Amino acid sequence: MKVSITKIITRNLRCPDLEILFDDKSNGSGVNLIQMPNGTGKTTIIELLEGVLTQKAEDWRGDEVSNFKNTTTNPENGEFILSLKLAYPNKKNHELSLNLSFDFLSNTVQTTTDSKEYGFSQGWTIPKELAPFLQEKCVEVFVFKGDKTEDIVTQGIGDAQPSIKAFFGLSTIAKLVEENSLFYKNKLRQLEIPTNITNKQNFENKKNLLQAWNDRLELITTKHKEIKEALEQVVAKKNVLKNELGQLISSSGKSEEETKFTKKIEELNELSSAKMNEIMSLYRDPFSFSSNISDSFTNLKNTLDDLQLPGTSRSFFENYLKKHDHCLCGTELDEEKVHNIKTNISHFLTDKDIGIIESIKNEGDSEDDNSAEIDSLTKELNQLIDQLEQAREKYKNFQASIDMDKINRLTELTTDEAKYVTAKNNIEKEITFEDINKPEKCTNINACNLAIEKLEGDLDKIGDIKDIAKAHKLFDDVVQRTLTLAHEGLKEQLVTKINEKLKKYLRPGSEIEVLNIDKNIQLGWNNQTKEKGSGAQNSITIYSFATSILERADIGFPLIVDHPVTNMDLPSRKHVGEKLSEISHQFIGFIIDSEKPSFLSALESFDKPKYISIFQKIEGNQSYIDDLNNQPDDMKYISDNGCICYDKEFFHKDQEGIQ
Amino acid sequence: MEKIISESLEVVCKELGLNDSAYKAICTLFEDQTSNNISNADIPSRIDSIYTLIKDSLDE
Repeated sequence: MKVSITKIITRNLRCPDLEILFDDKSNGSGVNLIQMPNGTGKTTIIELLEGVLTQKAEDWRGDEVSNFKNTTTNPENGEFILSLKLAYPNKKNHELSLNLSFDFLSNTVQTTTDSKEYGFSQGWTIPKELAPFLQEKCVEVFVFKGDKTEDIVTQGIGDAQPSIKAFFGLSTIAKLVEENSLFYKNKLRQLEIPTNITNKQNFENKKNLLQAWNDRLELITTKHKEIKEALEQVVAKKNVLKNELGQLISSSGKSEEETKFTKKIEELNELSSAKMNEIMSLYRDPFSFSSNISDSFTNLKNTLDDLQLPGTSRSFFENYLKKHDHCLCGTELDEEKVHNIKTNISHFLTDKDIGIIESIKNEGDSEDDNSAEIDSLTKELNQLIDQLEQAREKYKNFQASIDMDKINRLTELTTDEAKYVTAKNNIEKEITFEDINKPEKCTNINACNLAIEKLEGDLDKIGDIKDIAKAHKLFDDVVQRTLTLAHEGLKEQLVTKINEKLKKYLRPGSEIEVLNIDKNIQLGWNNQTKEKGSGAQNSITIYSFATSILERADIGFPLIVDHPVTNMDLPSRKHVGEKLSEISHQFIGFIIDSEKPSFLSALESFDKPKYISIFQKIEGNQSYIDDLNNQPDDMKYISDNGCICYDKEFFHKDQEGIQ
Repeated sequence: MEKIISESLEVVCKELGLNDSAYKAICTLFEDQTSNNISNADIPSRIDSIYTLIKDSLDE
């Protein structure tokens, strides 16, 4: 089955009143390109399309509804109609319109269906074969919104898994896990007390307790799942940041580059410090401090030597006077001279004083001149200080080159990661329950399971609880394991399919392929992963992913793309232009002027796309409106406030100034 | 329903020692669930019979 959009009608909404007609491969090239000036309501149209295709519009809140109102005319009601064509290989096409009526007085919407086959009906009557695909996770695959386009190939941001699960019915089957749990709980609740039981209260209590433990297990399992998902996200975001920072981050949170810098600085600091100690130990020699001190000291020593000082001490003279009657100079020592000497002898140097002066003189006699060594060491120290300064400067530049916001974010993520790992380990660790009567205190999966096992065992002695519990667990296991196995198989098949398409659509020599689909589509080449491809490679990968899923699910949807070639260089635009009509049976692209070069000419060389120029019917656009008036009727649409032109030349014209 | 799902289910049922009747009952439930052929109200009775088939299967 191939689903195409044939028409969109808008009235009294936050975009001009329009009736846009689309082609698919059955009546044209299948490529529809829309250009709408900023502020014309492109986003509104995409949101309305999404709201209907996902069926979410039925649940829009009042404020969401009022958001679509045309605020210029302030109408009481509005309308959006999406007309679809369902083409089957072996039966007649089915055409239907999904209508969304806005009541801006009550801010509510009403849905109706108009089908050629089944007539008019309240609500949206979706053909059974189409219904499973009209949900958010499926629509995300074929409606690409602006910047979000590349998420699916960007690790840690987008997620390809939910779409795969949705398209192949795995998410629908997964609902049986919940149903099984609910059924089991009800079964327990309804379990009748066997007639032969005497202690009915005890049976009832244990039954209730088992129920409470099962509830607890469900709660902890949900929490466990949330923590695991949060941990996965944190790790993925960390990896993205690390790669963005262009470095390999060690477990300490420092980059190898940064570690190198800090290590060098530490080494130089240590060397400088050691050199400084060496110099200081030499400086402890007082003569090393100053050449003046050294020179003065030498002079003093020479003078003392010349004068043969310090000569002799006070004790020498005292002994001399006792033993001699003549002075050292040879004259006689009379009583007056002896009296004078004895009176002044207290001024003579003591033995100790003499000892000090002699030792100072001896020090002065030392030939240890360490100034040369100090000079050499100081030179070495200065060199080390220079190197240290240079290393610090390099480190400073390195730090300045790093996006500090990202570094801080990385630190936060590392903290979060540790937090989640601890929480996960606490839930998973092998412990038993503390108190069987207090399930609400339990925070551990194993403890919960042990408590449940015990209670089931107790109750099994008096009922058939264990059989029910066993069947419940086994059925749960069957569903979960089947889903995992099927999911893995589907991913493998999709990788092969996407790579076949990449070979076909990418420019020859493009070194990119899908290695696997983990959470995101993992790109790489020769088994080496790549963080991302070029703009063109990413876009073509995403289109290939979408069409591979659709083909594998045996259904076709239009690819609706906002800015299809905006991130591509000119040669890539040309290449995409050449291949675009092969990609899908219907392509609806919202493009802007800057995307036209190379892309349009390439597209036209292979195909005749449908060009749709939309603009407001306002005074400022009069020249464009005049131009439109010259177009044949089947090439234009004019409402009270909006215009559509399907002409190729009109589309090619510079749209600057149009509103 | 996707063939890969029924094939996966068959592998899992064999691994877990379930017999063909249990496999077929689960497969039909999956089939009905994916094709929107079953209402929420009908699911419990289907699970109940699957429990019985699982029990029988394990008793074999």
